[in-house]
Amino acid sequence: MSILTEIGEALERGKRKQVVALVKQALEEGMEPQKVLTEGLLPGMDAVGIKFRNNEIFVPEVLVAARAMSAGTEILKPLLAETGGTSLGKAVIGTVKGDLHDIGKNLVKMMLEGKGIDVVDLGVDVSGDAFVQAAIENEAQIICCSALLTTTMNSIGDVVKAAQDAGIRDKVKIMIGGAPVTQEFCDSIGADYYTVDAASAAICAAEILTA
Amino acid sequence: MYTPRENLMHFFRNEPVEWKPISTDMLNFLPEVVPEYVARGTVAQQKPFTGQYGGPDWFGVNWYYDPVARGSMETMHLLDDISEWEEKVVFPDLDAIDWENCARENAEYLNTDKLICTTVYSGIFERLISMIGFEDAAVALIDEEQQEDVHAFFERLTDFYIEYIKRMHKYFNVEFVTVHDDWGTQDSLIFSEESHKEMIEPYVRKLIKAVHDEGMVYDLHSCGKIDKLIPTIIDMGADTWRGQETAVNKYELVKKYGNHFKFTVVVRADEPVDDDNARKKMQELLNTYKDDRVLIAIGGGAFTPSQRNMFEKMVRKT
Repeated sequence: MSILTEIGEALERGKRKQVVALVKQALEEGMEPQKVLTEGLLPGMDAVGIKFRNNEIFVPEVLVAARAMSAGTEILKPLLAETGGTSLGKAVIGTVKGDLHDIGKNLVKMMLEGKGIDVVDLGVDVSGDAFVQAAIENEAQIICCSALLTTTMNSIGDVVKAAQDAGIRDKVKIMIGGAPVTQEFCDSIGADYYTVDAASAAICAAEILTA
Repeated sequence: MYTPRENLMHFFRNEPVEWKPISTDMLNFLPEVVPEYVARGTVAQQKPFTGQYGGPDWFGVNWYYDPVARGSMETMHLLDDISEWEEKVVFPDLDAIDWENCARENAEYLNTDKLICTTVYSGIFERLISMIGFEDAAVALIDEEQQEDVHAFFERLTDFYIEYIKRMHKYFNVEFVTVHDDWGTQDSLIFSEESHKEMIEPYVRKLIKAVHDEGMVYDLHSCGKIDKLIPTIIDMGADTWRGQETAVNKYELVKKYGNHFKFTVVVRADEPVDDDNARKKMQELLNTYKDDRVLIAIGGGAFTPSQRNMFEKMVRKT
């Protein structure tokens, strides 16, 4: 088994210490940091996403894997910066105004990071203007917003409107999700993408950034 | 003619009822002497609450109350990890609360023919979340290095809840306890069934038994897609379950398990509706569950008091 495969499998099992050791070993053996990331860590996290989507594993297992991923990427980050390796792109993420639920949002964040996307987490109860401001300041290509409540899902429309008013609508894609959100709702407010779960959101975001 | 309380208790004892039970047959009692209810913004008592919602709960975890969301969220966690619980978590002193005085102050409110109810807003998993945050709590459930501490914390917490519930029964004749503990995400369980069985179930069973030993009713409030756990919830002895209607097919669950379990079904309005539409919503629900033993809850917070009265009259005809 190659060391890259070992890294991916250790990540899938959430073995943080093992991932760190293997990443270090791969680098010591002269492997390019970008290769360790794209052929070791990211495929491992992809596998986690697929298993999560298929209900073969659950939130705790995803979190453990994401932490292993994060430990691995921490080692690579300075080297990637030196060698000019870059992330796939940048997204800002948050739960919309009036909504305090952050579990789903946090999962999406982890899945996006697992795809090699830089994520700026705005937290919960985020206004449309705050989403847009953060997108401008961070030069994000994607805004991800979620709502868990039927009473707050309409605030997602405020994000779309704020992006239009700020003149950045052609610069960002707006992805939405959450329990009451549907494709029909997405269409009705003029958002770009609705995804049904965290793993699908990450796939969608990666497709946007590589299109 | 039964009183609302009698009708509900007959319902939970599998005895004939005179009408389909409805949540307006219940009286919530969430007194401000329990800091929990102030922190969570849900005080229900005789004297109108005039203070500020949010602030520290009775474990010292601080909550921010958002009037728009009509809910609270913790703003800090007490512990870096659950291994610190014995050292840092101070369990509330139930003897420090003047329960008898509280009963006197609420005598008129509690002099009711309705079923008196209270709520534990943080079940064991949610309490763990409030202590260390969601992500760490989820990880702690499957981390072998943390599981022993999680078990010990859950055991102590369950004993505390049992004592609290006993007092609510003794001093205020509370007979219905709702325990909130969300176990599902939008489309799945938060944790595996195995994790639930190993880490959560023993303590829920213990709490349910204690509630039943007091002659009370146990209502589980657990949101998310948790239909896989319904057989477990029934087996643990819960008397009813309510959860997020959009995450499960409640109708199918009622048809599948309704012969030996009592589901709570919800007539809901998140935005104001006129009386005709309110009546229509309730009639649709009554038609859907015409032959089922279900408890009807009024959800969403947008129905007016007169519409709630109308619902009461409608169910009395069932």
